[in-house]
Amino acid sequence: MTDPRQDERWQALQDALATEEAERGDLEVDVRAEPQWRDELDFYDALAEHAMQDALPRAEDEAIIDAALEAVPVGRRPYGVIAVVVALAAAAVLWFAMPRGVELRAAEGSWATAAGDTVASGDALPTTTWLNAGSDACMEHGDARLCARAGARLRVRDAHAHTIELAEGAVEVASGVWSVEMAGTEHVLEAGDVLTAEARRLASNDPVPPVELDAPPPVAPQPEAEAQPETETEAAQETDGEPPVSAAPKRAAKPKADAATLVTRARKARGEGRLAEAERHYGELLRRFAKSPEAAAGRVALAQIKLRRGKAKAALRLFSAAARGGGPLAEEAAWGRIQALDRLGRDDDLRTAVDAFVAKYPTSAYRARAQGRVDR
Amino acid sequence: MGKDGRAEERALVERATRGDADARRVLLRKVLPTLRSAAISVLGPGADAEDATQQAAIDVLRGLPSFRAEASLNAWCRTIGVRAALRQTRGRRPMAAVEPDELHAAESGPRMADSIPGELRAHLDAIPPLQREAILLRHGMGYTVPEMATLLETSVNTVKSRLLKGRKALRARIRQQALVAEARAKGSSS
Repeated sequence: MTDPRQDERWQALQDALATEEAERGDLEVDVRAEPQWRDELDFYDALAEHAMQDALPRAEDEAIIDAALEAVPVGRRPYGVIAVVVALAAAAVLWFAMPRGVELRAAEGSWATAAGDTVASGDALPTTTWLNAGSDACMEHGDARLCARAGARLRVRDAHAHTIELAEGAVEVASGVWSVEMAGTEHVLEAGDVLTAEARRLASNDPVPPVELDAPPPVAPQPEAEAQPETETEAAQETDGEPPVSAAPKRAAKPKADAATLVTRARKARGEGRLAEAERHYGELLRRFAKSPEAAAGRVALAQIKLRRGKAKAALRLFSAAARGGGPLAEEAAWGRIQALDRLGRDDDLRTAVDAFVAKYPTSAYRARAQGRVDR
Repeated sequence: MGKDGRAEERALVERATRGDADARRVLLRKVLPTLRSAAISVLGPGADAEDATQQAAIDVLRGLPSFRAEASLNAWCRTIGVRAALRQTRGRRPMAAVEPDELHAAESGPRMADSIPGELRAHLDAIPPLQREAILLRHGMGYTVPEMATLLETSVNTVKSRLLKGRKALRARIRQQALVAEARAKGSSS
């Protein structure tokens, strides 16, 4: 039987070795002399031998590699810096060139943004989102004024160039010269000109040829897409390589898939590790069937894929939209939001999100994991 | 790895760092088993380890400019893999209101590789996750205490504390098991 004092000393020295507070030479006793010492040493020897699991190349490696290469494009950092510098320079030039005090404003009636916000007469109009004319409504930029009929749907492409894109309804130029893009064609309108999207024709004082009538109706934006926040649409489009929502009609090379088909394709691609392809299918699902039941689940799935592929910002936007939308996956979306905030290192937002999550889902299976994010 | 092999490796890293597309792909193919091995060693096999491997591959590409030529690419990548896996375990760790180390073992924390024999696994499973993590990193993967502090984003003293508590708990279990085995042996011989 080991002398208790000797055993105590042995333990202390072993622990000191483990924590690097002693050198091997400090251990003067025969460490293999006692069975209870030997068992412990054997345990750590076995752990050292087996802890690192060998891993061989696998079939899905190429998918992982593709995703990593796509997530970290060549020259990303330098290009990012150059892009920032160029953007700042361009902003400075625009700032000096821009007439002071001129801003695109709602002039009459009321406008509603895609997110449902109302812009009253006299307020600045957003230039990054689709606008719906709730009633006959006008917009002004300096001396130029454009009015839309109730129900018209448009977005401002370039306020300073008086350029808009018209998806539905009719607009009339009250003053100035406006460029209106409709169904892929640009129309230059002057005071008195009316352009109607439904009829696809130019009314009085027609300065340009009428629009071709044989184009198929615009696929997007659909009414469902209106309820989606702009940021989410951007997130869904981030990498899928398809053009953004546009009123311009396009002849599809093949029939468009329905929502269920897109989900099936996305799931299959995801299951087989083709994440970029899964991302594309989910992105298309969100754009074309934004309010379908499939999209609600697809939004969370797409966010998870983006998070997995290192696109935490885009994932955060999608998770946030999904969490706001409620539904059966709201809890998963809120949990995903926490993961994305954690990945982005936004500690204050993370803490707030975790507190809100715990309050809202006190019995959630994710609760401990969520709290673990702020406790480490 | 021989001198030539190391030089070849350095050349590959340099080309990949400069943005050579082929070199980036070849490099990832080369290091992916290491990244996965590190992830599985911390997380056990499964989807979490695959996610960590994916993230680690991204981290490798992002971290290439900081890779030092005198370092071992394999060791560097292993650390990246372990770090990605540890971040993944953070999502599985139970809440600790006061002292995480005092929490009893739970299903969260590192799961361990299949390669670890059942008896060792049973002992490790019985100790709290943070202590288990420390034991695995120190005794299973051979990281030094300062390296662990960096990996775990905590202080050296905290690492030592976790190690000592984990070792104490394991010692008690190992000795208890030895006593039981001894008693059984005596019982069967008498």
